[in-house]
Amino acid sequence: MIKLSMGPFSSGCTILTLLCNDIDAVANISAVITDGKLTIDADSGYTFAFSDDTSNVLAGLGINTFFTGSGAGNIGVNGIIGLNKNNIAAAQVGSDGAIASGNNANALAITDLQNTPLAISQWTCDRTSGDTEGSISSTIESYYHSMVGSIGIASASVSRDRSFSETMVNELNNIRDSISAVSLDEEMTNLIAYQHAYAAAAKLISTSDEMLNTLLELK
Amino acid sequence: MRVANKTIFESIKYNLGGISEELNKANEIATTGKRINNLSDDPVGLTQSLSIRSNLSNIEQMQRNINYGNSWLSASESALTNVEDILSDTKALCVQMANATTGAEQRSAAAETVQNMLEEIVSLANTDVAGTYIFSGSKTDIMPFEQDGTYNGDSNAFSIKISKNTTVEIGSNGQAVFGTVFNTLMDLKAALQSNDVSGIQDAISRLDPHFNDIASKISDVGSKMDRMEIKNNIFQDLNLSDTERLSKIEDADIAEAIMNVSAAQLTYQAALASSSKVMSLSLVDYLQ
Repeated sequence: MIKLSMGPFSSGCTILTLLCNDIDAVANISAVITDGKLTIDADSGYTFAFSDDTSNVLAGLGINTFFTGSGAGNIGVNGIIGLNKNNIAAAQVGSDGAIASGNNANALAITDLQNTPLAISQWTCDRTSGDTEGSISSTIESYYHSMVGSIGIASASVSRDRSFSETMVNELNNIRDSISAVSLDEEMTNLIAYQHAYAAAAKLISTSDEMLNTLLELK
Repeated sequence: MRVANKTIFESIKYNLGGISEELNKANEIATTGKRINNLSDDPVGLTQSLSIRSNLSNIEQMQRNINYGNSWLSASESALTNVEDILSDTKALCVQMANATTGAEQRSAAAETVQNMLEEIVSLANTDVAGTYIFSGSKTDIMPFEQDGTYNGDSNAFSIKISKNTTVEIGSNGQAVFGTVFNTLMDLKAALQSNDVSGIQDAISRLDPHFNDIASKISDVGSKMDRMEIKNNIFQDLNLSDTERLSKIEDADIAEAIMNVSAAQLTYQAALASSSKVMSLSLVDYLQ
């Protein structure tokens, strides 16, 4: 087993080149950079594996990772895993550098992640103070559950608000309409009343006409 | 208050809308059989049901693990029991061969028997479950022992999870279990071949600790199987009670759901009947 220690890198250097040089310096392993791509090869009769990476360079290079992408927008499963399920890194290289096919140390560690609390950032946003970052400690699963729950609560409260506002709007419409809108009953009643008045007025004219006729016909 | 025609129509529209929404909701519950159809129906209940669901799938996985572990442990148990039997035969043979009346020829014939026993133990130590070797530590794809007793496995016994924070070793480090047995048998074979009585007696005294080791390994395997059994029973109970809790939270009371549909239907019918009457009323109809 060979231990590599990388960095600190001096400024102005291409880090990949330094990394390549360090790996290339290891016996029986060759590393070259072509077109910006690092290729690592073992001499024939040798194989190599990575372990105990504390510099996170493997994650940075996308070696042995489960996911690709850099955020929620572009997260994806590493295509290498899709090609062959044996590419899932379920084992860890032993402390003596041995590789065993039945080693499930990584798989067990992944399983433990389910119950490991993590610090998760949470942003709250309101109109007066803008975005505020907070942090909670929770397992991924219970965080997801509480997120689903809080969406449900928000949705229920929005529904309640909507029905309250609807009632308010209806009530105000009714009050406005009671003043400005038309009641056909009222208009028809008025119509009849004016019709009666008109009829009465007409009757007055016809009566006075009759009276005048009666007077004129006196001989 | 003065009621305009427009107000009557608006309020009919609004109220019928509300009632048909209620009818739809009641119908949704009755047809899906679920009390929670949207996040907003019962956010707190939903959160509980999500965590029960994840518990249930965890329990199922653990039960699968336990079944898998049991197949390994019972394979170990039968292999070890056979080895114990062979060792006891070997000891009987040794006692017979150590006797002063036994001749060199009989001893060299017995050496053949010991060779056979040795081969039998090697084959038992190479026991596999569906192609994975149980006595080769975590190098489960590599046959642990060669015919000469060379160990090719490693010292990390294969282990599985049987609950959130319990891992159990279901495989074994073959070297620790069988390594010295092979040495003893090979020495015994050599002693028999060379007619070396003190070598045979030496083998007898070395066989007893092997017995104890194998016996304690068998009881270790047995106690692990017991643990698995207990865990499995607990998981079965948990599975049942969780399923029941889940059903209580998620499932609709069908009788209640049907009653609610009927009630909503009745309200809707009454509203339709009354609205259609009110809508057709007009003073105009009564005037010539």
